[in-house]
Amino acid sequence: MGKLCMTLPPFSPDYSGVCSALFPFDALTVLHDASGCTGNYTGYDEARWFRSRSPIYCSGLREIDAILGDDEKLIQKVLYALEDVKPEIIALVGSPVPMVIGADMEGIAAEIESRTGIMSVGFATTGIRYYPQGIEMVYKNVVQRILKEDETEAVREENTVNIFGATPIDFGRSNTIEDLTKLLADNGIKVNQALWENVKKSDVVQLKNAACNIVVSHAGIALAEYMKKHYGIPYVTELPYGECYAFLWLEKLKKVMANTCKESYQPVKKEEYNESAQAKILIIGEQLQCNSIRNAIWAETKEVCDVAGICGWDTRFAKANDSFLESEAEIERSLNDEKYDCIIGDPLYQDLLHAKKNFYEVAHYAVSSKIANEKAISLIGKNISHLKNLSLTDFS
Amino acid sequence: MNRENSVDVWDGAKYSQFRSSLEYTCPSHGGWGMVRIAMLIPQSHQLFVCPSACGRHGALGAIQQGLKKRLSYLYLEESDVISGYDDTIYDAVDELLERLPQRPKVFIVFVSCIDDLIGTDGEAVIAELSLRYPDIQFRMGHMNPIQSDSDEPPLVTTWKTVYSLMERTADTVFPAVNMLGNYVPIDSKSELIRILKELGIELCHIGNMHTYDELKNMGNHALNLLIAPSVEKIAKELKREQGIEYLKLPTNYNLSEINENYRVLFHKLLELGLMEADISFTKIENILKESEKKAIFAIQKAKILIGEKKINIDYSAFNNPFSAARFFYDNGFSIAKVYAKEMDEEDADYIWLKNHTDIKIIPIKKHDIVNTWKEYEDSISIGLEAAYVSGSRHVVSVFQDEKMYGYHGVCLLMEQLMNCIKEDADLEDVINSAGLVV
Repeated sequence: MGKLCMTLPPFSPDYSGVCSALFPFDALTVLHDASGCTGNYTGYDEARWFRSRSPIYCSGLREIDAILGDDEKLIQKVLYALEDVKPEIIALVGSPVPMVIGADMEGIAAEIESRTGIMSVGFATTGIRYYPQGIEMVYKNVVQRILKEDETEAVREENTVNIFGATPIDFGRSNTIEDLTKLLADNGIKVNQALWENVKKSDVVQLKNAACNIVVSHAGIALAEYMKKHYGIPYVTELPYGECYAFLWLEKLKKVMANTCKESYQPVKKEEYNESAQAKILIIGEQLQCNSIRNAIWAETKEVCDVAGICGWDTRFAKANDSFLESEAEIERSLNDEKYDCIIGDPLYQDLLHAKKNFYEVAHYAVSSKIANEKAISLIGKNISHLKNLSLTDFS
Repeated sequence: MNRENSVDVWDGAKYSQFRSSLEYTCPSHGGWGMVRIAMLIPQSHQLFVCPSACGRHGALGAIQQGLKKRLSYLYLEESDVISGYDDTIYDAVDELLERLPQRPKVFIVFVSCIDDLIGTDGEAVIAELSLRYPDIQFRMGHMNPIQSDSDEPPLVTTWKTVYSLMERTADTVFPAVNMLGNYVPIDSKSELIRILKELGIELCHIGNMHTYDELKNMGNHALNLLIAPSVEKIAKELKREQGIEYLKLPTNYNLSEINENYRVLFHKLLELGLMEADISFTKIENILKESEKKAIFAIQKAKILIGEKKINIDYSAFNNPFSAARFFYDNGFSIAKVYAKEMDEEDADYIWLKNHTDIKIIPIKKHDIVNTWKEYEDSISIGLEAAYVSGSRHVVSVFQDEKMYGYHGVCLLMEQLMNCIKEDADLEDVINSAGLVV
């Protein structure tokens, strides 16, 4: 985000992305900070924290430790915790102070691994970047490492998929991933692994056996690319929102799995979408989920929409008039662009509107956290009443 | 008394290990936070200068509290960390003051933990801003939990920022007492307010100040009454630099100590000339006696209703949880556990509890809490952290003795205790509505 921000809250940071992606793993995770960074994550970025037993801790960093670079103190705290917690993985997660003092998170993790024999990973997160980068780091430093260290051959299982990029920072407490799993099951497709809950190292190894990967947020793209390159597993992006688009998306997925479709990116073909038409609707939020909403609207009404992404962006999945917004000023400008008479996005964006517009609330946990959590809705398959009403009353 | 059962996590080798353990953060952890405390300053605006992440909890908390319009952020990037950001602050303040719909009277520039290591010259920044905008009072604020183990932790520095706006300008002081250290004013039915009124003295709290001028004018009041340790530093500064008298009388629930506190207060008021030496104490003594009687009755009533039900308390509910635990113990309540964040080895109440009771004292932040919290327990918890960890069926949601002081404070505490057993708490709802910020 750009410098001055008067209205919106800061979005979920990179270290929350790391912690959120590690949450379902059997990992002891340590946020190397004084307390506030951990409070951000546990208080506002982790929808599963209440009544969880995930051992995610604050290191209790103090100024004297930072000045002296007392890494041994952190190591001793981890060793002490290991008397009570028996994880498969130990993760050390950076924050702004370790960034300033140049703490070698990866080096400290390597030292812990050499002393304990437990896989240990350091993350040079800074609190300056955003959650997708953190999730990507977990996929790269943990998932890819486990895959690389595994020597077993991949055994491709037909009609199985992995889901990448699914964390509650994007989906809050909505049933999106559960509904997606059910929709797939109803169509004879089994979810091999979603890295969503109760993940063991042995589950990660199974990722390479899937027939296809589904990428539901920007954070999952890099891992899907890696799996494509190293294991030849194709991937499809986005989510099957709405009835009509769910049908198209499933057709596409089946073709990709059957290897009868070479293009692995967009379920909606470029030539079918009237990209040059003037959009009256702006969808703002996580890029791939916004794309999914756009496609659902298009599939039902043939109405075009522009997408504005925050926190992460990949031009390969953008259309001509889409944009990546990097500051509150840019978000404000886009929302108030006269060509849009309807906005779909997190409720907090409404505070940036200068004049009343049709606004449809789709909560984004990375923006409004638990404040708007009840507005986090699953738009998968048949659960589209919200979207359907939207399309019939406003876009036709 | 069964010393065998007493938990000794604070003792010996295990205690030292506790001190250096990884810290668990309960979903119920948090409180008002720096933003909300500094928002007590009327007609003020806050600019946080920090990496974006540092502002997330404060901003979302401010939205929940309806305060976000008075809070802005200047996000720092890696390049700012390398080259410093003094000029960036000036530019941001210039832009903000142009764009804000209402010009603030007070402007706080908050920095975060990293600034303690970067070393921005805060005084120079404030001097430059004051030069540019002489009609505005500028102050630095520090949201720096990295200093939590120092003598200037964030709570202390934030209260310093807030109360440094008091200014003694009048030659003669007003017959008024400022109560410092509590987030909200004490209950209006408190006997302290009635007694002071009887003496022609007004009890003031920053929460009742509607303009910056009213806050500034608190400096012309006769006495600062400190009811929490976090304000001692600023009270001493105000005494040293502006001659504002102070008296430390922390919130207490022990009836004899409440009585003693009033004697100390009267002595100070006499010393300051706010009470006549020959004043008839009859009316005041009657108020005190009547209030004490009500407190005794409230305790007895609560005791009958609560019976032997286990009670847990925590450090978030009381400024001194050990003193509160002793009060309950002395009055026959069945205190099971005290959840503490830190422990003062010299705290008399802690030592007494440790030596004379089998009350368990649990370090709430120790890493193994994640494995030990319970889903359900037929107990009462006072404080949300105790409630979460013990899984209490009944919960009193109170923060830092809020609204409670003196005999009437005891009545309020007993009232909340009796009310909480009427229904099972939906703890997640309670926590969410509390708007906690770490």
